[in-house]
Amino acid sequence: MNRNRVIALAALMLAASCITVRPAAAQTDSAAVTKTKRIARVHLTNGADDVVEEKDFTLTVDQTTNLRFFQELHVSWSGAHPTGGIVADPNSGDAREEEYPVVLLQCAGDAPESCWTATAGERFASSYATAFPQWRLDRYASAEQRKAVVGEPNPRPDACFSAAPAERWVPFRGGNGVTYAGGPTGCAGMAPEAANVGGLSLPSNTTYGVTSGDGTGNAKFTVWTGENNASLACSASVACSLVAVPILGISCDVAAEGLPAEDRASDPDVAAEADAACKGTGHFKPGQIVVPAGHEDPSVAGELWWSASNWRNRVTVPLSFAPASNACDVVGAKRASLDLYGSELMTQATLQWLPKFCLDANSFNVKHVQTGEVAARSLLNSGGVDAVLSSDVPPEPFTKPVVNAPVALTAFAIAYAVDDAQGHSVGTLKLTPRLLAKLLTESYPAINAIKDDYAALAKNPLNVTLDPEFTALNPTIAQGVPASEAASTLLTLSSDSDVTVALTRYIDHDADARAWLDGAPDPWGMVVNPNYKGITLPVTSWPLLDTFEPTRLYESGTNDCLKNDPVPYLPLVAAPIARLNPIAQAMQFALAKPNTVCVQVAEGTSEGEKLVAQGRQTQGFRFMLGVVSLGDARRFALDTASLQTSGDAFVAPSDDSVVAAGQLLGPDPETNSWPIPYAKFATSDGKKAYPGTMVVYAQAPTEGLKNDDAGRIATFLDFAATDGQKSGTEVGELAPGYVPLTEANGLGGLSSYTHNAANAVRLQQASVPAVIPVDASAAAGGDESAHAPSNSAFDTANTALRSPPRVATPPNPVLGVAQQVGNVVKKVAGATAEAVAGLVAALFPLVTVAGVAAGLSALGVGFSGWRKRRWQT
Amino acid sequence: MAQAAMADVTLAAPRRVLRVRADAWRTPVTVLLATVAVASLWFVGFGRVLSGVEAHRAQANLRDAFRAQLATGEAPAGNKPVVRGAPVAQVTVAALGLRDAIVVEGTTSAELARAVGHRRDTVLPGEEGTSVLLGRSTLFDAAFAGLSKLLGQPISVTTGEGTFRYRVDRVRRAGERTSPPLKVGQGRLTMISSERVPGSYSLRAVYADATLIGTPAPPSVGRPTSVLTADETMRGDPRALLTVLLWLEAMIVAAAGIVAMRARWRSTPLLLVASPVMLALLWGAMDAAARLLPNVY
Repeated sequence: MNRNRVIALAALMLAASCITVRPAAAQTDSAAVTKTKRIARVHLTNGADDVVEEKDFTLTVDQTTNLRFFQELHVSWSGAHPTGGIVADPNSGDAREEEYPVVLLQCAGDAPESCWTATAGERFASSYATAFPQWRLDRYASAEQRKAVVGEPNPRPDACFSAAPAERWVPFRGGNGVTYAGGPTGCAGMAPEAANVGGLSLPSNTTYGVTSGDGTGNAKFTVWTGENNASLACSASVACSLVAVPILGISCDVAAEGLPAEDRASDPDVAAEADAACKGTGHFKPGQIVVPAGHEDPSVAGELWWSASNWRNRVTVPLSFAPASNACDVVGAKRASLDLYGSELMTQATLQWLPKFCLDANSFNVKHVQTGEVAARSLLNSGGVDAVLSSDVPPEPFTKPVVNAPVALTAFAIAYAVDDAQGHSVGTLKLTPRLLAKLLTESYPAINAIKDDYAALAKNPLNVTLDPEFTALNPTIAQGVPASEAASTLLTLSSDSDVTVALTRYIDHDADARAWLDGAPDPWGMVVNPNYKGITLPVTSWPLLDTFEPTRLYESGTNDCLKNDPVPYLPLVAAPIARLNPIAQAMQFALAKPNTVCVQVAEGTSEGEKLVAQGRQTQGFRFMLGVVSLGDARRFALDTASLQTSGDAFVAPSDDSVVAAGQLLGPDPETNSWPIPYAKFATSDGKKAYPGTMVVYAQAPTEGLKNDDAGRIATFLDFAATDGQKSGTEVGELAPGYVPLTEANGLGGLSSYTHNAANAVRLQQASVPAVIPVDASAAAGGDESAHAPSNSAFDTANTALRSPPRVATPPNPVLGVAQQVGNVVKKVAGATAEAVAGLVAALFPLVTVAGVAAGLSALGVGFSGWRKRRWQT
Repeated sequence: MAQAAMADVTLAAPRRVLRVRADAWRTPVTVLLATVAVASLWFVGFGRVLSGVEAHRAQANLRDAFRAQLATGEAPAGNKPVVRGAPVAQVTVAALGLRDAIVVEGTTSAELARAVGHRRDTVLPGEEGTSVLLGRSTLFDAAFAGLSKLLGQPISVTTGEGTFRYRVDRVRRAGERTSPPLKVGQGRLTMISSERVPGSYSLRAVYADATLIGTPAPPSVGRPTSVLTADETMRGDPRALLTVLLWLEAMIVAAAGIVAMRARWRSTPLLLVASPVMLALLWGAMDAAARLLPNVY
């Protein structure tokens, strides 16, 4: 009976634990949200519903919590009407003219007025041809909304001229509570941020998503927060949502029963015309790629997303935001602070980690000052900073004992923004080390003027898309893209960085790439730019070595800047950037960096003219490659290329492939670190390992720091080794793009070393924990040193110089006794030596104390006796 | 009642006898305590000051001798056998304040009392292979005090085979990872001393490995292949116990002589004659006693 009860209880508890654990796990596993809604376009004809179309619209958003600014969301949907009249850039204001798009908006409330758009045309409509345009016939619009002029500010600004026969204003009122009326061309005022987006700079985040013939579609959506849009002002405290409006068209009600006479089309001709226009179903075929240029059918176009008929079909996905990246700047400026200099690879990790410290009232502030690792290490060496994050351990040691404590395993990635021949973004991209070498060494001529005049590169393909090596690996690629200059280079770093070291080391370890760099042509005859021939790798920053100036082109005057001030052309194409994060942003929005566009202050005057970057590439015709950190690639949802490990093995950066590379790591006692074993990637173990993998170490001295500073660094290291290795998007968790260093995936050795390192930093005794636990048998050494405290200097180094094997002596009774006595003496001596050694350091203080005490008591005894004698005589 | 008893005693017995008896313990205790105090403070003074003077003096003599040997080409090099205690090299470590400090052959506490010691079963500094130097951290001028702070510091060593430069690339303690095995054609200098374990009064060895920059000299032949136990790191030299006993015996003899002289001499000249004798004997005893302590202390 009793036993049964126990079993039942155990079963119950087991069941309960299953029930309680499962949902929690599901929640942390995926923050994806899927919502389904029945959407419809139903006209009201003669008082009866006339169903035109009815669909089940399903929307999926891959992440909705802990969002940060410029984070990219993957949005996908099904059950929408196929889109027609497709424009190249779904984020442009022109895209509103698409027919049947799925309009994705970020809204600070549940009304069209709270949703962000960047252009005036997206929130204002006017009609001169008829007083009864589509939106006035909308059966779901309120009586107020069906008046002739709706939402007009009072008084109407002069700049807006007089009203059209029918106008609809949709003012913008974001999270900060300020209203901008908008109006025709924004005459009544637009949010200040509207001026900063579009054109060659950053695109707006309003997305007119394209649905394909089967009703499905997907798009990336850039999340904005108050940090880059103070008017929309989404933040951890201001709730916002992603609103998807699947455009099905206006549900028309020309009769308008119950409305005042002036809001009804009383003239039958007018009514018939308005009704026909309202019931339009589009001018373009589904999937037709054509710029509507004003020929769209407004009834089904994206521009009326705010109409009641479309708005009621919306699907709203609430978004929640992580603390702003400047959250720590405003907390207790006077608090104790730990500055970590270096590694831009860690930007996304520290963005999530550091608020854990600054938002904790009992903790201290930690700041990540992002600099190149090389500069950070030299600061550490000179004592300018106490701790750095860096990935390379220099062969020249620091001038003080420094621990290399692994805090993250991540990678560099080659991000791509590439559209195929159909204008869709390419799903996968494969690159070999030799292709990277070709792109870096300025070996593609980029423009025909150089290909024609520069003999050294005359036989090379114009750009990578025409390189047979590249097209063989990536057959779906569009060959001969318009963005030839951007397709001739790899956007990389201009500053000294460990990322460049890792990248060039990967190239250097590939036999084909190395041979090509040394001058051997590739199988298709392409040769290295002679200025780079035989370049020694790795390098900390990529040099720009080409000096060729296409004189004929310059003299022709097509580019006035280069005519007046000629400089080598290919370095302008390479145009590296000093920091990693701007490269990620350039890749996110396909902002081409080749610095070849001449801008004149006034058209036709050379005074003050300058070369600027090419700017945003046209959607559908993008081609850009750039070096980014895996953390940035994950946050901004950048596409990342697969890199060759050996033969036909290409590995994309993923958690699994980075873990696989982590498992190849072996400790190097020479540098006390875990260098990336590039040679192992070609082996069968390394086939699934991503060769761009990098370890990020926190490096801190174990000598010379103040106790407080050392304690803070040690606390940070302990955090990084434990709580900081839990994957997630919450504050204090490990951001996507970094793999946890845990026992579970075989990387526990790295984090446990970090624990040891934390202790060494805390103690500040100039000791650096060994990267491998000492092998006991090796440390014991020979028989002589077995009882010595330690003599490990001889373990490995000096065996050749040690005594030859001893010859066994014939037994001799007398000698035997003598030897035994000798051994006893030796043992006693050894024991005393050890005992003495155990107390030796106490000798002086103890003897001093004893001597002083004895002296004082001698004086005391003597003096009191003498006094007594005197007293009594 | 007690007062009454005391009064009785005072009255009943002659005053003088009673007073002496009551105080009789004071004199020997005072003398004993004073002796302990003097001996202790002497020991401390010897360790802190006099041992340094002694080592300094030894260094000066050794340096003169070694300079002469270098000049005449007689400094130990190559295949010449080296006797224990002979100078073999001079080492400069700016970070330790060592400038041309002499290295002598052998690493028992006796050699280390005079100079930095070269472990006999290793190659000479500057030669291919690992050469091991031991130095004191506290007594006898403490040549290797602060060894743990040497990481990255340059070292230069001059022997009969030339001048060699090293750079310290690892500082370690017992149980920590040793430097990787040397490759053919590399030279390493391992310096060993001691330090107090922080937070405790025990002592531990500390090692600094320095790698030779440049080409090493070929390893010398005919080096000893084993060393005395007392040559090993952190060993005292138990043989010094006998020396200590002999010095103490000499002190007993001297003390007896002084007591005998006391009857004939007045105290001032006696003090003048006896003090240097006793000081010299004390110095010798302390010097021998210090040999019992670990060699790198």
